[in-house]
Amino acid sequence: MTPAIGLLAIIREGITRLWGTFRGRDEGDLEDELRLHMELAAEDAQRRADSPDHSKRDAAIRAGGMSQAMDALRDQRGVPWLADLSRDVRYAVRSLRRSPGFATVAVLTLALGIGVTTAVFSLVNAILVRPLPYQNSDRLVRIVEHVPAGETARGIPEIRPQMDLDEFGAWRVRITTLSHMAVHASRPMTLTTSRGAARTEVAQVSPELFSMLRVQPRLGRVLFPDDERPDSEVIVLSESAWHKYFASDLNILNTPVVLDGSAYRAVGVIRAGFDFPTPRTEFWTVYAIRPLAEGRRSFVNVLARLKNGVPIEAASSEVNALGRAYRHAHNTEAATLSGDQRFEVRRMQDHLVAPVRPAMRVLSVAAGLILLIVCANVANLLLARGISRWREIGIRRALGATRSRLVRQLLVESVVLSTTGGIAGVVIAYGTLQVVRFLAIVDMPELFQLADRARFGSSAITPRLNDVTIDTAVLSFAIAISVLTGLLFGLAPALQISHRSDEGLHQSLSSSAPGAVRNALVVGQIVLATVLLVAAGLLIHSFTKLSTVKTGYNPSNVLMFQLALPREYAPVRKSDLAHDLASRLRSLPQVEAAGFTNLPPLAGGVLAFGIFVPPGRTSSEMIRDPGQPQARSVSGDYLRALGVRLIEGRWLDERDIAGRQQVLLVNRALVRRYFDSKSPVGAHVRLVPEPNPWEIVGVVDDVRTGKPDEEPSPQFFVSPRQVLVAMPHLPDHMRESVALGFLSFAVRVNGDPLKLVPDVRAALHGLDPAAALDDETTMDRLFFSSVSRQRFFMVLLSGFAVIAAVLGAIGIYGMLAHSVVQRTKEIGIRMALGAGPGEVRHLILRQGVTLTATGLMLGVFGAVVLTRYLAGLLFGVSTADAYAYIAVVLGFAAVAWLASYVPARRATKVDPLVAIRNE
Amino acid sequence: MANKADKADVLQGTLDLMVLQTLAVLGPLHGYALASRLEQVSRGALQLNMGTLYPGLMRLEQRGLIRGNWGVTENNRRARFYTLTPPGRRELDNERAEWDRIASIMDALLHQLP
Repeated sequence: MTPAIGLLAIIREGITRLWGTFRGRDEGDLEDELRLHMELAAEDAQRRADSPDHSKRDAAIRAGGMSQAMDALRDQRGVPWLADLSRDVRYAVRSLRRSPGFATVAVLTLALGIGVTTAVFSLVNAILVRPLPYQNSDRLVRIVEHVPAGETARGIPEIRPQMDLDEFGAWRVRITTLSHMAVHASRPMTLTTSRGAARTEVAQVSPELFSMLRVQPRLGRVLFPDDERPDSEVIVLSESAWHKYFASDLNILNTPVVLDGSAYRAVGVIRAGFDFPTPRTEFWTVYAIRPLAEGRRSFVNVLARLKNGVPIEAASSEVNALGRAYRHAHNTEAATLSGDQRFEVRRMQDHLVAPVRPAMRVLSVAAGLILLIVCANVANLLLARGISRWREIGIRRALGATRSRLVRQLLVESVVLSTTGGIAGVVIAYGTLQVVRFLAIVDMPELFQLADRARFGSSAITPRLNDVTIDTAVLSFAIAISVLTGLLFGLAPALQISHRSDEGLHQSLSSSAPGAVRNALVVGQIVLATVLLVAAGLLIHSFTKLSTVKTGYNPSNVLMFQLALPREYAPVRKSDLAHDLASRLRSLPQVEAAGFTNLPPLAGGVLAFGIFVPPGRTSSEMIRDPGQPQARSVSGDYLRALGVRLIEGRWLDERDIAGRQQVLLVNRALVRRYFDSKSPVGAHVRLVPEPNPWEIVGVVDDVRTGKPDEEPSPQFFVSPRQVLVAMPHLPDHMRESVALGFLSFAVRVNGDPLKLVPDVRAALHGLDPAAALDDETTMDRLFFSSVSRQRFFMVLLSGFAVIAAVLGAIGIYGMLAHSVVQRTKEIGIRMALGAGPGEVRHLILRQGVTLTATGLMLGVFGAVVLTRYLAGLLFGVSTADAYAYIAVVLGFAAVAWLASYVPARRATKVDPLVAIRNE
Repeated sequence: MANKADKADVLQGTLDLMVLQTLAVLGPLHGYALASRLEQVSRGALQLNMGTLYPGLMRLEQRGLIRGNWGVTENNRRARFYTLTPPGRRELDNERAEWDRIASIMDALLHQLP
């Protein structure tokens, strides 16, 4: 029968034994106890029996053997397999120490592979995998609209993440699959406190947001649905803003909060940790939905939450039905409302990370390939080392080591290598992440990042960059991948070595079997490296195309800045000041042209000014036109300062002031779309609701005003002075934002643009001491930063590809170098028989060329299959880009030839006499 | 030899109980004294070899049921004495009760009248 032993006692035994494996009672202690037993037994027997000889033997038999008892005690003391393992580990460490060269190369290679993989894992984990920091964040969704090509300004299908404000109001009352729907919009504002002014980020939100995200106040209350009134002036602030601006004043609930000159009433402080929509948000005010003026549309961000138990597909189909029904009833686009799934519900996290997901996937695959190359590389090193260890293995077999024991020993050795590499790898991962973070921050003035900031909540090329750290998940991953790697690259050599029969140990030196495996491993490395190199080549070529894309402007030698004027200045005064500054700058000798606009290139954003109605069209027709041209206001010299080409007609100039004929410049895209590419100069168009016609006086070249990879869209240009007096019924601030906007200047300079900044300051100070310069930079720098994301992925993937290529070259080199050593005798004989150095070199080179050619061929094939997944990341380059393939094949072939040449040359230095004698 | 091994197998399960009981009755004992006592009580039927006895003692010690300390015998020899711990005493009580129960069932079963 088995006694029922308490579970606690058993656990205690387990722990004691685990501990006892390394720190149990020592051998001497155990032996002392047994020795006493033997002595006492012998004495007893002597006392009892007549013949001392007989009794002693009897006692010994009864007590059992000392060594058997010791074995049983050792097994009981610790965990036997663990004890074996620790012995194996110690043995492995000793044996690796004996060959430091091999160990260093292997550990460094592994560190590289594990480091890269770990760094990519921490990126992917933080950005794609880890849930967003909101309660039940997997229930939070966005509603997106799939807009087909025919209805977008750029003529390509778009996914519109925002919702028409009118439609939002209608949806909110009808929807049944979503429990909450909230609008949010963020913008920078100026906070004025008793201690001065500060820029801060304010989110206007539907109060429902707070119940949707289950946000708790730290003080006071959150915003409630009752607050949702157009005249609402309540505000809540973040705990950090409360500390930062109000010194954690408990009286905050009675203090007015002044933002952009208006006073709000603080009703609560939000508990720390709430950072919707962006981590920089410090204040939340009420977004009150009010009907828009006729003919105006406004698009808003909407966050919603799935009703409990409702699957996302159900919500999608309801949303789609509702959206279509609404459009149909309001007959706006009913006739053209195409696409079966026009509206779709997407998880908030999926939507947030969608722009970087393909690239992250590519990076993951790349890191995996590098790890495989590393495995192949180290496996080859181990095989080469194994060949020189036949003697040791043979001796151990002869001494009675079993095959499984040997395999285990060799695997332990591999895992010791890989975990050492893993530890170094974590350091490399840490370093890599520092570089990644540095590369991922986009160094651009705020104005140029409004679009990304709204989406990602930070000025980085990827959302959630701040969450990327080396945490327990990442460390666990590093450990797991290290052990797995060790088993993977250790298995082949371990099995091969242990399977060799004892007699075959000597013959195996010349046998071809390990050579075949090793050749396959080298070819494998070349294949994987080729795939990575082709991918990098495609990205590099694509990036070159993007950097040299015809933007329509010339970014070199252009100084960019914004003019900051006191808020209270009337629009006309601001406009006059800006014009005066432009003409003063023009009078400087090193300035070629100077002007300003409301919204500079690369800043994104869409500005409409009235509804553009070309001759022969009606405004009701044009209001639904998806290609509705964007408006830019430009002071006379601005376009020339940017280097935009005038195609025909004239520039806007000093004539185009208030009271004169209202005039427009248009771009070629507009001419193509509305004038059948015929000359529009002299034509009159209307900007509804402005009653007077505008005359087109010139055509300029297309300018990529968005990101460089965005196609130019139809645009027209107006003079700020004429805008300021147009459309009398528009509110002043709206007219001002179209006419002056950010007062963004462009100055074309003869020389270094930044050297002009002091002169600009002086000129400005002379005009108005209260005015200031903001965000001085050059157009070159802005352009450089605008392609940061593409550069980021290109640099990372190229780095990976270079690592892969170097590892591949090391693989070839190692293989051939070892082969030269193995074939010394053969080479010696050949030379003795009259082979010249050329023939010997040829012998080794041929081996290298064969390996490389096979690897390249298979690699190109693999690249054709795999690089399809890169398509979304490429600009102006197809995945079958011949340049990338040719460059990679030629480049890698050259590197491989070099890697083969060194051992081949060494082969020619073999002394035939020494080689033959040396057996 | 085979006979001995069989005996050891039988003992394996009950050895713990016998050791605990002996220590409870006689107080601290060293390994040899324990073995002699068991042999004496069983009138020579139980002959424990070291390979069974000492690992068993070590297991009981690892489970916290007994504790071993080096001491000196009456003949001034260094020996490791084993003492019952409070958890060991509880374990003994439980085990004894369980043994009695099983034994009474077995007794009734084996000696029932036809």
